[in-house]
Amino acid sequence: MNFFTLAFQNLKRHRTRALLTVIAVAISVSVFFSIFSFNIGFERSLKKEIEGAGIHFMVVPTGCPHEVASLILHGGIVPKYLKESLVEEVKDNPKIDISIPIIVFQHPISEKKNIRLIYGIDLSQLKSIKPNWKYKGSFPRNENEIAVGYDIAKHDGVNLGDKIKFEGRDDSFRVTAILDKTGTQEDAFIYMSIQSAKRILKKQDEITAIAVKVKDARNINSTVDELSERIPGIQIVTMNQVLVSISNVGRSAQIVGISISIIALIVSIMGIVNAVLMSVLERIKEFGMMRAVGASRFDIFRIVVYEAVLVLTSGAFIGVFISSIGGNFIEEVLKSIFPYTPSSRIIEFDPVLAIACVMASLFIGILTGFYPAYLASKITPVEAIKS
Amino acid sequence: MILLKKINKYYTRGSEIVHALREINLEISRGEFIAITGKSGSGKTTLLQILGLVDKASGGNLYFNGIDVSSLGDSNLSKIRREKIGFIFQQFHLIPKLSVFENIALPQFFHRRKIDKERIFQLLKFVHLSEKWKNSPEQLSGGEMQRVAIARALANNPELVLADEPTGNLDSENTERVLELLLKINYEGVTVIVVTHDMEVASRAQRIIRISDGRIIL
Ligand SMILES: Nc1ncnc2c1ncn2[C@@H]1O[C@H](COP(=O)(O)OP(=O)(O)OP(=O)(O)O)[C@@H](O)[C@H]1O
Ligand SMILES: [Mg+2]
Repeated sequence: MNFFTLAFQNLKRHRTRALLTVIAVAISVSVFFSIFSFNIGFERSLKKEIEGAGIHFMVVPTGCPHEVASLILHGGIVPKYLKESLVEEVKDNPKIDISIPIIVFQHPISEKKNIRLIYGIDLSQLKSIKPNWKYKGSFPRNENEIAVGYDIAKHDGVNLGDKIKFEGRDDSFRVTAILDKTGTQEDAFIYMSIQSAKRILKKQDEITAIAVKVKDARNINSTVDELSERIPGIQIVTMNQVLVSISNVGRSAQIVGISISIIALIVSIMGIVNAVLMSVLERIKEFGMMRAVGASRFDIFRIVVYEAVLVLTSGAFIGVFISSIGGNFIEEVLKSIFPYTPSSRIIEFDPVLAIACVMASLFIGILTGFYPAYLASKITPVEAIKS
Repeated sequence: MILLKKINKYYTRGSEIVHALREINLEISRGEFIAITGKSGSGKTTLLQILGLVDKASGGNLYFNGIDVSSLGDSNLSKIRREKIGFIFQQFHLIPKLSVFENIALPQFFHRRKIDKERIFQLLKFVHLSEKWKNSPEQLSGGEMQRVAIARALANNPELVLADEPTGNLDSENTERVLELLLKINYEGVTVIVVTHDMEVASRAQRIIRISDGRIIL
C-alpha cells in the first residue's frame, strides 16, 4: 500500500468519470503536442527545403520582394521583368557558381481556355533547384516536352504522353512527366524550357528572376553587396530573407494554434479540478475516517493531489501516444490550416517535447490538485463519527 | 487513564447555541468497559468525540495518560490518536476498492508507512475473517464489515477503543458477535467505550454512563 494505491482506488470507484477526465486531458495534450511538434518541424523543414533548393539568392526586379519570396518556394506572379542580358552580368562576378534565368507567367491553354501557371527554366537546371521532386514518366529534356504539376494533371485530366497546345501558338507540347503531389503551389504549374516559355509569352529577352548559387556560401553577403552596387534596377532576396518572411507568415497561424491548445488545456484543467473536487465532497466521511485512524492533514492532501497527478499524467501519456501514431493525419489537417507549409514531412516525434509535455502535465496535476486537496485536508475526524 | 474536568461543549447552529455537554466530570481507568447511553440528542456522540481527541471541548480540561491535551495542536492529537486510540463507526467506513486486508492495514500505513502483515493476519483470525482477506468490502455482509472495522481499530495496538453505535446497523446475531469481540479486546487489557442505545449491549459493560441533556446522571 502507498499513497498512489489510495489515490488510484478512488479512480476505480468512478471509472467512467475518471476515464472521461483522462480522455479530455489526452485530447488537449495531443493537440498541444501536435501543434508544438508542427511549429518546431515547420521551421526545420522550411530551412531544409530552402537549403535543399541549392540556391543562395534570387535576383529580381525592384519593388516586389513579397511576391518574390512566395514565387521562389511556391510560384506566383511577378508583374515586372528583368532584362535577360543581366544573366551574363551576374555571371561575370567570379564568386558566382551558377546563375539560372527563370520565367514565370500565366497563360491560357488553347483547348480548354484554362489559364495555367507556366514556369520556364533551363531544364537541365530544374532538377538541381528542385532536388526533392518525385514524378511519373521521364523528366522533359527538350523544348517540346513539359512536366505537369499534380493538381493540373488531376483537374485537367492530363495523362503522360498527352499533347497540350497554348493559346497563340500552333506547336504542341508532349507531357513526359507528371509530378507527385508536393502539397504546395508547385502542384499548379506547368514546367517547360525557358526558350519555349519565352515564345509563348512573346517576350524575347525578359525574364522573371535569376536564381544564383555562389561558389562558397561564406561569400553570400559580400556577393549580394557587390551585385546590388554594380547593377541598377535589381533587388536581391536571399534564402534567409525568404525563410524569415515565410516563417513570419506562418507565425500568426502558429499563435492561433497555440491559443487553441492553451484553451483546450484550460478547459481540461477545469474538468479535472471539478472531478477531483466532486470526489473530495463525496468522500468527506471517508477522509474523516482516515483522519480518525491517524492520517495527518498532509497525508490527506497528498492522496488528493496524487489523484489529480494520476489523471493528468496518464492523460498526457495517452495524448502523446495518440499524436505520435496519428502524426500523419494530424499533419495533413495542420497543413491545410497553415499557409506556405513546406512539402516535406513536418511532424516528427520529438522525445524532448514528449518528456516536456508529460513533465508539464505532472506539474499542472500538482497545481490543479492543490485546491481540492486543501479542502480535503481541512476535513476533521469528527466527520466520520458524526451521525 | 482519562480524566475530564468541567468539560463543556457548545455548538453554534445558525444564531442558536446548542449546549451539548455541561460541566462533565469523569474519570476512566485503564481496562474499563464502559457503555454510554442516553436519549437521542443527549450528547453521547459529542462526549465520545472529545474522549477520542477528534473534537475539542469548548471549556474544561481533558487529561489523557496524565497529559492535559486541551491545548495540543492538530499534529500532536493525530499522533496520540494513531498510537493509542482505535475507532469503530456505526457506518463502518471501509474503503470499497481496497481489500479487507488493506482496509485493516490502513492505520498502520498512516502510522509507520509500512505494514506488519503478521499482525494483520492475526487480527483477521481474531475477527474470524481469515478466508476473506482478499475480498473487497462490497462482497461482505454488514456483520462482516463491522468485524473488519474492529480489526482495523486494533491495527496499531491501541490502549483505548471507542465505538459509536457499533451494532446500530446489525441484527441481534451479529450484534452478539461484535459484542463478544469487544469483550475479548477488553479482556486483553484494552479500555473500551461504547455508545449505544441497546440496553442488551449496555448491560454487558462494567459501568454505564447515562447522559441526559448534556449532563451525566447517576
Ligand atoms: N456539529 C454540530 N453542530 C451543531 N449542533 C450539533 C452538532 N453536533 C451535535 N449537535 C447537537 O448537539 C446535541 C448533542 O448531539 P450528539 O450527536 O452528541 O447526540 P447523541 O446523543 O449522539 O444523539 P444520537 O443518539 O441521536 O446519536 C444535539 O442537540 C445535536 O443536535
Ligand atoms: Mg450519536
